[in-house]
Amino acid sequence: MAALLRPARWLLRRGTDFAPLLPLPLRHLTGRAGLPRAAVATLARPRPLARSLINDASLYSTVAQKKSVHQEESVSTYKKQIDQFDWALTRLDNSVRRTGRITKTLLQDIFHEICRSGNPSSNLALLLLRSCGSLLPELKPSERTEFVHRIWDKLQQLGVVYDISHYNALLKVYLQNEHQFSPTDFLAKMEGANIQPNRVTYQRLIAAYCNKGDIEGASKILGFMKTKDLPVTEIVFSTLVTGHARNGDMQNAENILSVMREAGIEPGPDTYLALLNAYAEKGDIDHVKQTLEMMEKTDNYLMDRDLMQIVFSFSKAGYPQYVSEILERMKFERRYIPDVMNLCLSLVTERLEDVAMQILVSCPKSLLENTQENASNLNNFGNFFLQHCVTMNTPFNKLEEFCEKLKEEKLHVAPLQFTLYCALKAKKTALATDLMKAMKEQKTPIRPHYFWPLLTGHQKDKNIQGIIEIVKRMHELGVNPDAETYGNYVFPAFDNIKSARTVLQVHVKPVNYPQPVCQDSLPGYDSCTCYSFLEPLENGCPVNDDILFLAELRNEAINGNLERVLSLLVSSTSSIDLSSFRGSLVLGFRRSDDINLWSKITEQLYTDGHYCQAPPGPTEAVGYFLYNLIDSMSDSEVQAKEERLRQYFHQLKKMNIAIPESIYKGIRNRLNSHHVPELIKDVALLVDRQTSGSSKILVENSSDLEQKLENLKTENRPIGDTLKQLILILCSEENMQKALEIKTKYESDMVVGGYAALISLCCRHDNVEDAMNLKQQVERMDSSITLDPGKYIGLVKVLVKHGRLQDAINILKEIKEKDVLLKDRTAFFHILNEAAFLGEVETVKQLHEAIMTLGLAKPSITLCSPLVTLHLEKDDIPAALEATIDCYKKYGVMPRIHEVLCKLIEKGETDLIQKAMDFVSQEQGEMTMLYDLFFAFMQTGNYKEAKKIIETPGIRARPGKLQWFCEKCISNNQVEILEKLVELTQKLFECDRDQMYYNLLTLCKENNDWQRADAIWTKIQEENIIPRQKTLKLLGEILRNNNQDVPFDIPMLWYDNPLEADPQHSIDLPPEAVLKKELMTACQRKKSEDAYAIFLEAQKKNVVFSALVYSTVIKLLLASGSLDEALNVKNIAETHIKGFTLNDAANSLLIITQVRRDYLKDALTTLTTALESHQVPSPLSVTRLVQAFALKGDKENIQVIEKMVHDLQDPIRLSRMLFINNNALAEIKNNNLDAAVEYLESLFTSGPLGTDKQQSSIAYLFRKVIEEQLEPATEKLSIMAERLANQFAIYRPVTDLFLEYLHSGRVDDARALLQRCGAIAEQTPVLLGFLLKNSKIQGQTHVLKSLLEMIPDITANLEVYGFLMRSFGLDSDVASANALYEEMKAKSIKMDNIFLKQYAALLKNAGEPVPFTEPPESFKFYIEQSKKEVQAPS
Amino acid sequence: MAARVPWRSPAVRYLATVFVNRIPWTAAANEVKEYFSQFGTVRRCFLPFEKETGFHKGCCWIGFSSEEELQRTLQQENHFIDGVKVHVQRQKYRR
Repeated sequence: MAALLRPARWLLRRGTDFAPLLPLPLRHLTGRAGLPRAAVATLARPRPLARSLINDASLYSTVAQKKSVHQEESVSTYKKQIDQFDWALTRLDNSVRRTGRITKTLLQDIFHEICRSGNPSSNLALLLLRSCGSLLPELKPSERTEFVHRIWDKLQQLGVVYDISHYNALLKVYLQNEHQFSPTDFLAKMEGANIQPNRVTYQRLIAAYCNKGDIEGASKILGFMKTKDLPVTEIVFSTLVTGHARNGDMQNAENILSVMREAGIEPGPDTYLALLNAYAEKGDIDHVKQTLEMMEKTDNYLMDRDLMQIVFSFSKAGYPQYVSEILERMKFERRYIPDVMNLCLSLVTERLEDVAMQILVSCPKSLLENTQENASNLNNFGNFFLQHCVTMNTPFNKLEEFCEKLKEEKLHVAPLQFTLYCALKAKKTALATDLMKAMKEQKTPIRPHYFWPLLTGHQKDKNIQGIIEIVKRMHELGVNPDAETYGNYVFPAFDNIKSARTVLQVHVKPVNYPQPVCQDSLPGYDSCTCYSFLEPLENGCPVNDDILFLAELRNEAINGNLERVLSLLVSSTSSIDLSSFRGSLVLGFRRSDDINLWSKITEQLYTDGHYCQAPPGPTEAVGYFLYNLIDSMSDSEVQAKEERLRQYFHQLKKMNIAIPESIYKGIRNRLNSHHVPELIKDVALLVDRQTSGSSKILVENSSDLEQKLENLKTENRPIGDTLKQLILILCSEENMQKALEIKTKYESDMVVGGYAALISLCCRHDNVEDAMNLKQQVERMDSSITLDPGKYIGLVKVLVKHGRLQDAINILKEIKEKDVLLKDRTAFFHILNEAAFLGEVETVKQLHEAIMTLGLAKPSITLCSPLVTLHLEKDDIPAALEATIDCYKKYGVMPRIHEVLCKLIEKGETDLIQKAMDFVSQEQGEMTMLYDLFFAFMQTGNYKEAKKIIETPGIRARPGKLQWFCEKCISNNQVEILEKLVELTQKLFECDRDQMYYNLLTLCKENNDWQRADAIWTKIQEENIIPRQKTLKLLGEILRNNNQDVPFDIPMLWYDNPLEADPQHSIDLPPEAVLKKELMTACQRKKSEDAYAIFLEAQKKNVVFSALVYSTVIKLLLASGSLDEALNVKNIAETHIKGFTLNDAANSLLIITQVRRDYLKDALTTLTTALESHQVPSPLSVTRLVQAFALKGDKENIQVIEKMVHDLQDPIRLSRMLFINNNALAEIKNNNLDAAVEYLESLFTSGPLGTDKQQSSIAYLFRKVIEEQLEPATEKLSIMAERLANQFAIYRPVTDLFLEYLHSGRVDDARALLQRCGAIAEQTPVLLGFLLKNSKIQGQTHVLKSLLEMIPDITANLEVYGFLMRSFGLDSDVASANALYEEMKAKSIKMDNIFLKQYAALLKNAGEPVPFTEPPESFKFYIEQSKKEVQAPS
Repeated sequence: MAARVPWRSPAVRYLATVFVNRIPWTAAANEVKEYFSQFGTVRRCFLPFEKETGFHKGCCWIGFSSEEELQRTLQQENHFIDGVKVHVQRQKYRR
């Protein structure tokens, strides 16, 4: 033996590498480790044998690390497999996490689904195999092994290639199921499949031998291991303990421990557990106790989970009497509840339900209160147990006993009911009957629908005998079958209802009981039940005739046998109300096309009183029926049956059937929404005229309504409804003025609804006065009226805004008094916060106080924060601190303490910091205080101080607080602070390092900072952290997205939410696609530099994109003025894509950029190529190019362009004057002044320009020469312009010149020109155009003013005032605006709404009072209005 | 006999309807209706059963004749039927 065990020393020598990894972190991070899988398998699951009974959920994550071997398969198949794997894993894992187990049905479902879809991946196979062990405690071990074999064979057939992990998984399942098999055969099987066993395989084979007590076999395997130099771990020793014990050699089993010590391995809990189980199997309680005590002395503690194994061993070996002694030692920690449940289930499976019950009862009550199982309903513990007992056919008397016990212990409120539920589900009639009898004894009601699950079984097989049997049992238990029972569960088993009736009447005696009959709801499911508690009759069972009749009626109706329905209705004398079969009848009507039958049945119902006995009688009942009929139909159905429905209504009319108007209105609405308003008039025929008014069918528009309202008024008829309708329409049109006018006009007829709509309209339009007036009017009408919550909140908001605090508080009081149900409680926060930002101290305080004292909202941190914000905004930090402290005293919350502390630190207010800290520490404990201070120091960059704080002895990690701060850093993109935080918390006790790094990586991902991410990866190794898969995945993504090598296999995460995860990242996306995506993202975000960098990367990697991508990048680069880069991209694109051309927009941009850079030749080439490829350049690009050539004096090229774009001139709307102006400018630039003048003059006098005066502006030319200070040219042009005016009466040039003088500030020249040429003053359209244009430009007020000064008569055009006001507004020239206003007032010139609005806005901006009522609507509204006026002159 | 009539929303629009969920299996329409009658007139009570299993799915629509009755129902914080807390909310209509 000793020789065999020698390799253990070797392990220890090598094991030092792993040693630091083994303890604490592994317990938390099992299986999520990013180590190679083999290492994980051993390290993460150090105690596989000991866990044979109860496994933990984390095994799944190891599975997930497996990479699919089907890499050669297409991406889509691969993707599908991943989806399938995720789907299966999520379902199984949810089950394990919630309940600690998997149910057979769930596993079977998944298995079948996978078989059905075919093509399972290999890790999916692994997942299924692994699930067949102890995770199925409700199945007998033998069944589980059978199941795993079935899966194994089936998957192999489906083409799964098994590798070593699958064989190991199968071995594990064998061990968990205690399956007897031959390890040598197994090895041979593996060899046959050409799979090499590994260390895990050997360890498990040893365990297999040991479970049988076969030490010899185990030794053989150990020999193999030795020859292969494989390390022998504690696991192996533990299995050997079991082996010797099962061999009956306790002495040697005990000796293993000393052998271990000799080999340098200290026995851990696993080894002791093996020993304890061995004692338990022998029923040796004394040794168990001794060992446990010895362990405690050596600080070796067993977890509850381990103790439960001992319990299981004792029970299974037939020593249940010792169970209680072990149970006493259990701590019953909450996290072990799933394990407790599993233990109980396993015990029940082993027919040891009494022990299971004993364990259940010993669970402390406090533990059970908040478990998952009974989160919704307290005191329902034990469902899983009862259910499993029912499945395992535990006898009734035992179950009854358990139920009683559970109830007695107050573990379960209604155990009998639940057990009955299980019995019914399993269709165990005998057990169910017994249970119901027991319930009846306890005076618990038995209801007819309890029997339905039993009936369904027989109904499917048409087992009439079975059905009669159940009906008899119902009677025995005193339950009378109701119409549903007959109709839905009894009749369908018979060929027809008649035979059912006969059979039932033979077996049971018909009687007539007055029974409550519930209404029949809607077609499809007739669901209502009725029952009565009747003593069973001695002989036979009673059948209620009415009930049978109703059931029959419903069934016939549902099947569309309207003829039979009619005859039933005619012949019956029963007093069944229409409401109890309305739903079925509606369905019947819809299934039948026989309108005559429809009408006859309706008539029968209407005239034969006893179907409509319930008040208010047949009119209502039949009307309601019609409504239901229409309502239950779909749009298309009504449309299809339009003609039939019409006939039907007309026939009803002939039969003098009437319906109430209210119901008619309902039907009308339904018909409208079915889009068949044509039918409305046909239904209208049926309206009961005695009660009706005139029908209002169509929805009118506001002006029609107004007209109608007036008519009604003059005719002295009631107008209430129409008025309300009009008000509502005006409100929806947001026409406040009109709505208010209407309200005033018809004040006396206003109803509450109208007022309510008006109030919220006024609130929306910030019209506090009218809103409050309206509110008071409503109150005068009826003070008890309650508005809806939104209206109250709207009022409060607008009142606060206008500083009417007291009124606002009164509204709040009213909300309280009238008990208005507020849905959106965040509204208060927004109101308060807005006021806080405006610094309105009293408002915030009083309002908050009022909300709190009235109890309208709970004092949350959010709701209290405005109280502090108030002071923070004013930078009054001491007051802010006071407010925070005050909030805590009053409401127990400390809002914005972090911000307050940060500010205090920034200002160095040591005393106040001390005060704050004393307070926090006193109220919330020292730890919270330290964290608050730590975060504040971090936030303000005082890392040294922060470090001191976090190194305080005794401080431990607060995951919630740390995560809060991390998330804050991430959302504010504070990389440095977060990095410091991660660094400073390195030594923090119990700090989840992986989570910290995960946060840091998240931020790197956001910034796409792979260098930092790479550095973090090194840090993680330095710190010896085992990162979780999600961390690795994140890191992998960052690196891969930046085309860096990923130094590990990127794990595929099974717990990723498929909606959140980007599926393109979890599979191997080709690098082109990744780069393309990145590139396009950069383009979208207009990050030209990033985009270019990505592009260069791609270029380095020889990645080729599509033409669209290149164009997009080029456009982006051009737009940001990076011409060279853009051209580089273009060149590269041209080499990659044959015939690559930029698109129109990109080319235009290119031209503009080239012009800007003064590469005119290139620009011309670009334009030429663009035009050659039939592109349409933007007018701006052509204009820029032509202008640039003109400034260079390059007349030739201008003409070249003119020719090129000649055909395009109209389509792209190039100004005709472009070439004329620029030709002339080019001449001037070439010092050919005379030529230029001649050219222009000829165009004006004899050319096209003379006739078309308005369009022929040479203002551009004037502007350019003035700007460039080409004085001689200016002079010559001036002379030309004057000549044209004086001799040819062409005034446009001279006017343009005049205006250009004004524009450039040469007022004197302008004035002189005007004096010489008075006709300028008469060129009103040009002048107005100039004014309009300049009124929209900031800083042009002086230009406008000087024009007005020179040509004051222009103000005869009233729009000039508007231009002026706009200009004043733009330049915030309040004085001029005031003067203008006064002037206009003096001259009593009418000011339009736009003018007033502009003036008001100017005044308000300047903080001055508005001396008139500001027009209420928006600018846009008035502009639209004036446009309409212009378009439609009256 | 006409084709199978398509099934539509079980809620009737003009009634003030609440949707009740997590109804225990022991209660059928009668029990549910009886319970909600304390808040007003129950015009409609629709509790679908699965014909296959004979159990209902735990959800039910209760139509009251007025909005006030519905509000009264919603204002009560907890509702218990057969000792089990049921979940009550206003029926939302898709438009």
